[in-house]
Amino acid sequence: MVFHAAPASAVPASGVSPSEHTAIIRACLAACADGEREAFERLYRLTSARLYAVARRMLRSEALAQECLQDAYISIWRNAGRYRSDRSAPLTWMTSIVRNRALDILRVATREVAMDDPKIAGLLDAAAPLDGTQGPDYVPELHPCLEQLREEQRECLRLAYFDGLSHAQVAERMTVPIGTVKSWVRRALLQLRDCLG
Amino acid sequence: MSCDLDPRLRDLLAGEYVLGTLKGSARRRFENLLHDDSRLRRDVRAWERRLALLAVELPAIAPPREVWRKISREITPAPKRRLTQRVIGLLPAAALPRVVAAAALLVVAVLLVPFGGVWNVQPPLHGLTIAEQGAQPMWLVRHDPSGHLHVRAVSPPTLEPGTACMLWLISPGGEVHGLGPLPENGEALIKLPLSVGSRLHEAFVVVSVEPAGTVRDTPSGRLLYQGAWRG
Repeated sequence: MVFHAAPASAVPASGVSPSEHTAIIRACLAACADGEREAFERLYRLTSARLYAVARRMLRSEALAQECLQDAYISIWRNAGRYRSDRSAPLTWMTSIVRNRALDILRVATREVAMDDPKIAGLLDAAAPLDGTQGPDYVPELHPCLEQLREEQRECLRLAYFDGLSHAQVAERMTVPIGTVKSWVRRALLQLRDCLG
Repeated sequence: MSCDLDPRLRDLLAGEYVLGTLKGSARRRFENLLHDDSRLRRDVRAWERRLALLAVELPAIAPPREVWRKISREITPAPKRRLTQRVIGLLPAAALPRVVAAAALLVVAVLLVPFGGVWNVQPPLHGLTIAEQGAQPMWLVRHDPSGHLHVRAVSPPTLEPGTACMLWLISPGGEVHGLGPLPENGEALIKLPLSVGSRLHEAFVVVSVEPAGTVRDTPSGRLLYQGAWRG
C-alpha cells in the first residue's frame, strides 16, 4: 500500500489565508461551471487530498476510497453550476458530495457483508487502522469547538458522521446504553451550535 | 414530525439528519418537510458547515495519480466523441473524404511532432501523438517508410480487464482497416495494409476500446481518440 505525500496545495499554502484559499476554490468551481477543464484540474489539486482523507476514513479501503473520489469529482464537475456560494462554503459542498457517495458505497458494502462476504467484511472492519494515517500515535488537530466536547461525544459524532452508524449501532460499538448515546449526541450538537453559531 | 415543532427541536433534528443518526421513517418525513421548508434547508446547510469540522481534523492524504487520470478521461468534452460517431456512422459513405478534411480542421488533439523532442531518438519523418486534448500522450506513432507503424506506449489508459485499445485507419475511400491492439507498455511494430501505406497522410486514425482478442470489422466500442494523420 503506497501513500503519496500530500502536496503543499492540499492545504492553504503559506502566504495564502484560509479566506483567500476558499475564494480560489470558489473561483475554480465557477470556471468549472463554464466547462473549463484547467480550472477543474486546479480544483482537484487544491482539494483532492482533503476529500480523499474523508473517503479513506469512511470506507477504510484504498480501492473503495479511490472509486468514491472518482465518482465524487465527476459529480462535482457535472454539477458545478449548481453550487451556490451564498449558501455554503465550497469545500463544505464538496465534502457533502464525497460523504454522500461514500455512504452509498457503505450501504451497498454493508448489504454484501450481510451476505457473509469475508472480503468486504474485512474491508470495512472498523477496528482496522487507516494505514499510514491514523496509527496509535496519531493525534488529530482539533478545532477549539470540537476540543470542548468530551472524547466520548466526539467519538459518537465520528461514528455517526463517518461510519453512518445509527444511535443503536454507536451504542453497541461503544458498549454503552442507547439512551446515553442519544444524550451525548444531543449535547454535542447543542455545544457545537453554540460555539460555531 | 410537524412543521409546528419548537425551533430548537427542529434545529436539533436538522443536526441529527446531517450527522446521519436520523434514520428510517423519521428521516423520510424530515426529507419531505425539507422540500417545502426553506428555513429547514438553511438549518441543514448550517449543520453541514458545522459538522464538516470533523472532516477538517483528518490529515490530508494525496490520492494516487491514477485517480486523476480516470477522472480526466471521464470528463473529456463530449464533442470529440460525437464527431467521431458521426464519422463512423457515415462509413463507408462516399462523402468521407470531405468529412475527414473537416475533422482535420476540428480535431486539435493531433499533434505532428518531431519525435526527437519527445522520444529522444533519431527523429523520423512524420509522427502522430495519440492524446486527449491537453493531456499527456497515450501513444506515440511514427511511420516507417518500409510500411510499418512504430508505436510506443507513453501513458496508455488503464482499461477494464478483458479489453484492449485497438488502432484503426480509415482510408479516404472509406475502407476501415483494423490494425490490431496498441501496446500497453513498450513498443510495437504494426504492418500497414499496402493500400494505405502510400496514402497514410490522407487517412483518419481512430482508437477504440474493444473486447481483447476479438476481431471486428469496424470500431464498435468506446472511442478514445480520433484524428487525421496529416503526415
